[in-house]
Amino acid sequence: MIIYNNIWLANLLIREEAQKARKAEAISIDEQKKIADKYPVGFYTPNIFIRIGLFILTCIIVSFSVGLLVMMTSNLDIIDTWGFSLFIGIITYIVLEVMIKSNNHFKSGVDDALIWISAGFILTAFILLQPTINNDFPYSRVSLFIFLLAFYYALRFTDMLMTAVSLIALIATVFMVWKDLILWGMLTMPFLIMIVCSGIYFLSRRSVGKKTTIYYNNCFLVIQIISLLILYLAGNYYVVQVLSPVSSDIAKPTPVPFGFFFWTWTILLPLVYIYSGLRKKDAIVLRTGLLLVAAAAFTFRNYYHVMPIEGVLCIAGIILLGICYWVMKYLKTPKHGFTYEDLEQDNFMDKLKVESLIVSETFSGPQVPADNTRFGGGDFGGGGASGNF
Amino acid sequence: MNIELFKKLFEEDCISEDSFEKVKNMSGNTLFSLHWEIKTLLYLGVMLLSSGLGILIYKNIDTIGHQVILLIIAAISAGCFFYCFKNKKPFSKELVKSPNSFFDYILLLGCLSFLSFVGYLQFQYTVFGTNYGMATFIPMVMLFYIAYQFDHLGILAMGITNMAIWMGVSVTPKQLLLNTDFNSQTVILTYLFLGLLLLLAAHLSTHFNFKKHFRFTYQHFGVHLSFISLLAGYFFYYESGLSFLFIITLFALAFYIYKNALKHHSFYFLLLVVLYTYIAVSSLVLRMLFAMKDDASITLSFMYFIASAIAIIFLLINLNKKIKAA
Repeated sequence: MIIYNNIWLANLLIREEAQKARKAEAISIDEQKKIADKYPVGFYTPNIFIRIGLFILTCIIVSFSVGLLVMMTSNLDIIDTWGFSLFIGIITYIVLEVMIKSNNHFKSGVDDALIWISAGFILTAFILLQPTINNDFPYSRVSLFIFLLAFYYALRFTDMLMTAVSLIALIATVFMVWKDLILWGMLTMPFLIMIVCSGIYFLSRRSVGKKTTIYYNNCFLVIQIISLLILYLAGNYYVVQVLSPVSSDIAKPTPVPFGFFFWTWTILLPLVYIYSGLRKKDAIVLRTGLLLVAAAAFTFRNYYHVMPIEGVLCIAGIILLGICYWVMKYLKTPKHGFTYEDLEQDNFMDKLKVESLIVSETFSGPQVPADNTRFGGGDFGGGGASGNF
Repeated sequence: MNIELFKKLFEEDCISEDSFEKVKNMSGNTLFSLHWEIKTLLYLGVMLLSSGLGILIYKNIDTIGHQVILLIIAAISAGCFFYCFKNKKPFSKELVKSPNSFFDYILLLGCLSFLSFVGYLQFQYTVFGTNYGMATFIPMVMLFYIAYQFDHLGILAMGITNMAIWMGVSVTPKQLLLNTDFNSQTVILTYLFLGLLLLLAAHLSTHFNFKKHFRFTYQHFGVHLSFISLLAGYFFYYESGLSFLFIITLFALAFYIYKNALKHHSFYFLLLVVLYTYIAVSSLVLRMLFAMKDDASITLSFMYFIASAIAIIFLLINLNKKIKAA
């Protein structure tokens, strides 16, 4: 099923393990070299920046080729027919397969670009095929098609983003179908989505590291993150209220039935994530939980204005700094298998010095008041010269 | 770690018995690192606190006394700096690792509140009068001093942005604040000067071995600024012969950055050089093609883009190999 050379993929995994072991200073550089010699990998996988460059250039080539084709056939008026899109989609797909098979491209930017371009054209063809006269667009059919298409690409190219797209499209399909199928569809929707998401989550957790699916490990990580996120959103009070059939009028929201349950879900689930992430030492669950605390806070503030925004910001900031200070003090010597130290010394983010760039992007510039504008302290952005990176 | 795998590697005589023992020991007690989580939370905390303070000032500017607000900001800033000076490591020309991440972010908070302090002083009391240059110059000097003193890349980047604003303000105060576009001669030349200055700073940092690791930040801003302003200059003077001066400077600069990127094995700058040069070359070629005033020029330009992009792909692939081999 996978287009890439399976032996090389296996060797790549072995090399990654060796790399980890070398970083932990368990094996020496010579030993790592020996392993690399014994397990060759023939893929062409350039550095991330070269990958970005190749991606851009491939897009340029395809778009100008299509443009040339359109110009040559301009009097035939075929641009907006589905056949043309399908034709381009199939051609780019064939090019993609040939590039990978003959030149051994593996996450090189060229294949990334071609994956998205061909999938996009095939999808466009499918959408153009739909009848456009009536105004109820067949969303469920399109999302089912997106799911199948993306699922195929994810299986064939082990692409993480395609996995994400296919999972989201799957949930969307379930949503649309259930909505139209059942009379009480919208009322039972949160529970259905919860069941589906938790099912997918546990399935993907069980599949990580299995022999048959070992090359899809990264895809499973993506599935876990997204299913955890959607699982939360399915029970989030705000989301439930907006989608609830009772409040068809968004301007005047009405309380949701089982409101208490959804409020508990909104507030407690992030904490449950964090707790179980810490207990099981699962970085994905932990980070998702941290992210969702913010979502819970926003949801809460949307309904209850306990204090003005600046007070909340200040207090939240102080609390966050306090928590960090405490955790760092507490973990000065590693406890319960946790450490504060950075275990991966030279990871990608550090090399790019991303942190410093983010700081300068968000906090750029002093608050120089213009002649007649009010001094607006602490507003982000501005400082136009900060450079686009 | 995967014990089975290393057992196999050991049996295949790829790793020594010693290493295998180490791997076995290690897989029993792997530590779970909370480093990135803490860092993100610290960043969020500083961001929330400083923006909260900003809004607080903005809303209450007419009600609570100015002195009180000034005092609060000054107290926060001074408190942060006091903490940092107390916990700092001695200055060195080399990389100084900060004591911990908390230190980094407290320093950042101190700088941000200091900036608010200066801005507030200027707004309320116009200490610097209408001399906006001065009002931005002082924070800039302060930021650079702190960046070097505490070895903080984020603050260095803030200092550089501040420098851009300071230079812009001295040239055309209002224009820069109202619309930061590249449509005027002075702005283009100022930014070009700034870009080259930053590249010089990057060069000097490595040459004198003085905070060598600051090179990346200087060069990052320098490369973008100078290439963008050279291109902007080229299009600004498109009709006059002066445009070729800009394009020639661009190629010269590209050559320098290319050599530099190869020397430092930097894929990032290599990609930037290739892409910016590609834009310049393409604009020259298009200019030539359209100067022919022929019907075929559009078709030819499409073909040019297809062929050139393929050529650049091969170029990038080769350069990738070259850096890896070096």
